[in-house]
Amino acid sequence: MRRLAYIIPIVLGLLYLDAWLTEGRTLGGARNSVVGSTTRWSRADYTPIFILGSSTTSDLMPPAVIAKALGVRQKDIANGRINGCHQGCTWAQLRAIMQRTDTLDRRRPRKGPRFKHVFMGVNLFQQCEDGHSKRVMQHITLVPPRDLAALFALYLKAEKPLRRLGRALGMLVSGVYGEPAGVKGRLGISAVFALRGRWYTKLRPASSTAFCDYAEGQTALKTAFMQSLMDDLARLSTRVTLVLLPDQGLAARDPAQMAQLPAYRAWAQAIADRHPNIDMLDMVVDNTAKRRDFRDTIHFTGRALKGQRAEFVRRYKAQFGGGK
Amino acid sequence: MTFTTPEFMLFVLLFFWAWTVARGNARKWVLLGASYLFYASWNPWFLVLIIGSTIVDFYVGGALGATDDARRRKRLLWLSLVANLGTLAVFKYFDFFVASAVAGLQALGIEASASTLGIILPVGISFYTFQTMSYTIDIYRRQLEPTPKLLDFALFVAFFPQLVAGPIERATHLLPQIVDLSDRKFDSSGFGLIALGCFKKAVIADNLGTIVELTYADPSNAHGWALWIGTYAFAVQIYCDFSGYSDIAVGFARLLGIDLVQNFRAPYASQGPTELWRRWHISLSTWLRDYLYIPLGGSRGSNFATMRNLMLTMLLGGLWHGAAANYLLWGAFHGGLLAMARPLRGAAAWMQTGRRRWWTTPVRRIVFFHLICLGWVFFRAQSLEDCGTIYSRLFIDPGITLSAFWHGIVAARSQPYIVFVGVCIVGIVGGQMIWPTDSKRITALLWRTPEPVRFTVVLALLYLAMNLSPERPPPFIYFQF
Repeated sequence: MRRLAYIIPIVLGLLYLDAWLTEGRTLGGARNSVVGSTTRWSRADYTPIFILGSSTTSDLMPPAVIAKALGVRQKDIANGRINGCHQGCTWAQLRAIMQRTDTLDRRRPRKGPRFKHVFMGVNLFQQCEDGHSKRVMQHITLVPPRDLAALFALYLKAEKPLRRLGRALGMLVSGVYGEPAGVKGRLGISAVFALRGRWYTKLRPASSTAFCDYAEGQTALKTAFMQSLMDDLARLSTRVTLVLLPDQGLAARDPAQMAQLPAYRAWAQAIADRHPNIDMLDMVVDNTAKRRDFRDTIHFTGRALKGQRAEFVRRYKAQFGGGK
Repeated sequence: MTFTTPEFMLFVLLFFWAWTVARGNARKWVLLGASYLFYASWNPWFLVLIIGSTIVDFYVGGALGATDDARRRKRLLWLSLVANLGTLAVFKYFDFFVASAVAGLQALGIEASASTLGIILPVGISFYTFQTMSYTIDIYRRQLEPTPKLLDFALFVAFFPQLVAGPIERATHLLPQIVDLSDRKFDSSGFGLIALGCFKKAVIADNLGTIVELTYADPSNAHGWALWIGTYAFAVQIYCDFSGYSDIAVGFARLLGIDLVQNFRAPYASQGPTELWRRWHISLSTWLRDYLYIPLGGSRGSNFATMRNLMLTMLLGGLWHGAAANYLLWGAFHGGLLAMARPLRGAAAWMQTGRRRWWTTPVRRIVFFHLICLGWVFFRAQSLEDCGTIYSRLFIDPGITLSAFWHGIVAARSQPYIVFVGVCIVGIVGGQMIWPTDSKRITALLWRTPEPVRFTVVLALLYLAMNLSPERPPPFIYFQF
């Protein structure tokens, strides 16, 4: 008991410090993107058309472009984009939307499904597991408590399930865990730990390309997330369009990337084929984008985006005939 | 599953729950089960090796203790050595020796090809193999009685805190503690060592690893000045990485009431090669001394014989780290330093006498630290060709003037990182030179402060380790050995 007299105030003090440093668990670029997104879709509880995915999805098909492709008003479209949000994050986001929908529907029952049409974009590299700790942070920040068990069950498909579970536990205990850059930024010491520029080398190092090699065990988790996500979407939406997005490696006809393309398409097609109301739109095959059209490994330059958006509308109308 | 990963956090929570619930002998089973689970988390097949090694040495040890027949004892010892070194040879060195033989024949113009086995190196094999070998050798030398219980011996081999990266324990030290495991008393200072180890690894070693990785990945294109920074940074990185691991291992063992040996004692305070090996990876260097150097003849013969013994010991010490030519060269480099130090013993003693030691001690420490750094080049470079390139960039052609190099750093706004690297290097190396102590002593000092103070320090160190580590922290360096 004597020990508790100092343990409790010290732990409380550190928790207060942690809360101050993490600004109430909203600190850090990735975390802020999650929190920011919730304010967008919490104002769109009855918006019939929804865009899900990461920044690459939102870049290529923002509400204005979707409105053009479908011939609808832009105000009928909600942008649920979260930067750096892979399939697991989108799964958690949809679960959060579902919980919100269930609560609202109990008060005022809705006629028909929650969504009329959902667009979701995926990049090839997103099929492989990503060891970044922010992934678990995104899941834990978004997923409602009622779906925690389902999330942990999906983690069992991961290459290192215990690591995911351990991180989830760490995230639940300490909000900051999972995005170290957040605390460093808050303390103003990010630069201390960041080596910038290429002053150490004579040559510009070769830029890396975002890449998934479909190695055994690397795609199991994302496949499980995608299947669960698509099952939910097929139930919640009249129509779902799964869009395969281009990236720099594919645009540059990188041989390693091109070799994986058939597996990527087959993977996406198999997931889309599970439900009759899910269609796949391929923005990769026969895309005329060049390497220089990308400002980094996955994001288009502003100029290239204009052409790619027009290409999206053209392809959509050619494949599905446009209309609502 | 390594000490600073989230899955280890889960593992530890479950383990301590089971440990607290269990009483008496059941605690040994809990500990053994946890140790095997910990080891199987890398690859369940690795368990076959460690259990095999345990059974062979347990029964060989028992048979050695039961006979006085000198020939039979020798045969039993050979059985243990062949089993242990044979396992090590197959799993760690086979591919290296086949590839080296083929390369050697090809260099002589002889057409040769051979397929390697592509064997995965079982984690920690070098550590526990040396540990089990010391058990049978000690019984053979009649310095130790064989343990009658397989459970105790299995725990001695697989004790999870030090299983994959040491310290390499001797049976004479660890086994008696395991035998009376249920009577061991919880020692809270283990938390201090764990927190210190996590801080060293996550904050210092992992963040210094960025510049080391970037410069050593492609040294032919790295500027010489950057390679100097990378080399100094590596010296501190490997110290904080490995000693951090050892601190965590010793800390966990203390929570179970077990005392493990101290593996590091301010190595960069060394004034010469002999002192270095009393301060760096102490459990390995004393193992090599007792089971290799002294049996080879030690320093009992002529000067030439002593130098030969030193060189052989260090070559094998280098090879222990890995099946690659650079580790052999690193061993040869340190063997050479030890051999050269012998004729200079008189000069070293002269420097230590009288008032001159006030200035000779720091000078010798600084000079010898630079020699250690030059040795680390062999250790860290990815190939022999890279070693040559790095030495050439360090001493002959840095590829850029110092002022232009600094302008590059300023233009990239990397000064804060460079300052961080500098503070770590000066802080760790300079700190050791000024106050050559070890983690156990530091923790003991911390544990003399009032409880609230040390509680706050431990939590603060763990919090910093959690939040100041890189986004994708690398594994412990010594896990690959």
